[in-house]
Amino acid sequence: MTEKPEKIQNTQRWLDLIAYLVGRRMPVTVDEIMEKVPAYAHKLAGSDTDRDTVRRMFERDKDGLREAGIPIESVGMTVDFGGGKVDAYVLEKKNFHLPYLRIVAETAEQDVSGSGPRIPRGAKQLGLRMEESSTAFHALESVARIPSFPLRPEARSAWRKLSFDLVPPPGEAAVLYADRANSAELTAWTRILTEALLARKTVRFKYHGIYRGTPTDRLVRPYGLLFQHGHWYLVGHDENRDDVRVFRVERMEEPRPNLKQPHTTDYEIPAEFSLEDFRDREAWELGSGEDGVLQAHVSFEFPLSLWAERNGFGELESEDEQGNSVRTFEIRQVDPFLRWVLSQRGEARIIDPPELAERVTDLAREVLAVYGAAGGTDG
Amino acid sequence: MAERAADVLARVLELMALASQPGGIGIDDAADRLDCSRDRLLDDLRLVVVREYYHPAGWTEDIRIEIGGETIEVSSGGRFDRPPGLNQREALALALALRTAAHDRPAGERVEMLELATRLDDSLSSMSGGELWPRIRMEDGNDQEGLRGLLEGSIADRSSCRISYLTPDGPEPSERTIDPYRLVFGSGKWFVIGYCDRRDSVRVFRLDRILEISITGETFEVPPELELDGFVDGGRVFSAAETVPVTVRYSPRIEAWIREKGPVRDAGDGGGVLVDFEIADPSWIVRHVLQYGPDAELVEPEDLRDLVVESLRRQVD
Repeated sequence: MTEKPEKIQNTQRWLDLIAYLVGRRMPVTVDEIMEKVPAYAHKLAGSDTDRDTVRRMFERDKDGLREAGIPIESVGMTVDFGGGKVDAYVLEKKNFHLPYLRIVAETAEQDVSGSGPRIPRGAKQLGLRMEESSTAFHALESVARIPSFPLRPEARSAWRKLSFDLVPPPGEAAVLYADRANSAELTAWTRILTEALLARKTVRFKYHGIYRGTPTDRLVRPYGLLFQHGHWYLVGHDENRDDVRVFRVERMEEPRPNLKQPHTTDYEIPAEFSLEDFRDREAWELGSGEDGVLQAHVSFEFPLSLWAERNGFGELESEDEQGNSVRTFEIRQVDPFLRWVLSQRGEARIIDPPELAERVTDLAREVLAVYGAAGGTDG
Repeated sequence: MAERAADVLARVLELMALASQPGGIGIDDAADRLDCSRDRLLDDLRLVVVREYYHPAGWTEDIRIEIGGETIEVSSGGRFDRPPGLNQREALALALALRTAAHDRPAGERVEMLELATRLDDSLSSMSGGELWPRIRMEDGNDQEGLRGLLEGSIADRSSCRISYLTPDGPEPSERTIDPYRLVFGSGKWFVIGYCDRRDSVRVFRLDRILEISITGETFEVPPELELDGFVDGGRVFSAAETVPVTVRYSPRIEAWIREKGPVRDAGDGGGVLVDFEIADPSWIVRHVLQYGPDAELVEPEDLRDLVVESLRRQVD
């Protein structure tokens, strides 16, 4: 099982570096690291690798480890009694290791987890009530099942890390997600968009608007990702349209992040941007509103009026004794709104403005014509 | 595609922590715990062990890896006996998980869960996910009343619920008692599958049509023969009640989207595609085709075509 390796791999070098740094009380200088950590010392001993090359390798490794969550800290260290400062590094065990998790009683900070591990002096620890522990496990199980959730592997590994000290609660999951057929591709795309969002890199993709024949090329600065109504949406600044737009991820063709200068950001998210403004919005509320925001008054027959109230469609304006209601809507995209009203089977009707009411009627006539029914438009 | 070095490292560090426990860990048990195959785990181990070839004598004397038969045992002087804290993406996953779950809870519980989320953001990682979570939101649907949280609790506790339910064609909401078995999300909507006393059978209820809910105080047993597979398929949720076959034609304009949703048939000369459904709720299919305007046509059966036409005439008259 232990054949000689052809070359030292990144993971092996990273392990050497962690093993050397972790647990040392004092910071270690770069020179010392290069001479003492075997993977670097091995390189330096070779005739074809100079010190600067090995130093650059160390810098890349340090950055890679930090990115992977290994908290290597830089400290300036004075050498030779004030002769100068050199770069030195430390990896404190208490920061590197997962804090010790223990179950505490409901009212007092008393450990009730029984014979848990002995907690070393100075180690970080966290007390959780049994109910909090169960909540965290259930939440991680649940989020990992959201279709195309981009951080599913991380939700699983976070769950495993919690289970290192805590006992996961028993019981079958209460929630089932009926996954979509194309979820593997979608998951890959939501992951790409998440990574671009976290790194603040622009993404390019072709986008199919639902009623647009040919796809359009988009260059977008990702500002946020939303999962709602069973779909993932990217909210971002569309560079060509110079405006914040909402894109359904399923309607993208292979989003590609900007891979140039990977350690720099392409943009900042404006401080005034809030993803909350886009959450729980219906299709007609998600437009840019560049043509203005239209107010519509819609009557709902009983009992559909109860459903509209229950689900917060529009704002209640008035209600009569029979339970019929009138609700006010703010419309940014007219077409999706008209189709939504049409889908209410005549139990919801626009009463104002009249021109909007007329457009629903025209749409209904157009559909009647498809059915060859009287009342439809000619042709 | 080659696995990222960071992913391999994360797995190796977790493995070493598991194998540092007294008695070590079985190879198959470790593979199971780490969601990876036995071969991959052995590759990881090989990666760690062969470092000895380039290590100077004595360098690894306080990191010992013993592979005996079917177990692995690691001794590392306390360096690797615990897994690393959560990395940035794990912390973000946990932050999102708790905040998404909190959204489904009644107000009091929600506050407690958000406090827990903040506490864990600050405690479990040197790289907080707490600063990042506002960039990704998954609190799907309007659930201000905490209906989903209440149903999740009822499912866990086996508590029956009294609901006021708005059936699609009912003249008014109906009262019924349900034994909730499972919450399901599909086709962009939440459903609860459970036994309904009114129908004396297992039914599917849309959460957006539950107007009121209360816990009855009665408990129930889940039938051992219960099969939920028949209710969920290909991203859609089905009622187990009797269904009727329905065919819908979609225009070439929206054909690409319909193809993405599932199996289709070519519609022939007129272009576009045909989709076959098995429908338990006629009003659902009527609303479904109407939302596409003239780009969808219910082809058959005739009586459901008539329902579409009737709905349209109500809008025109």
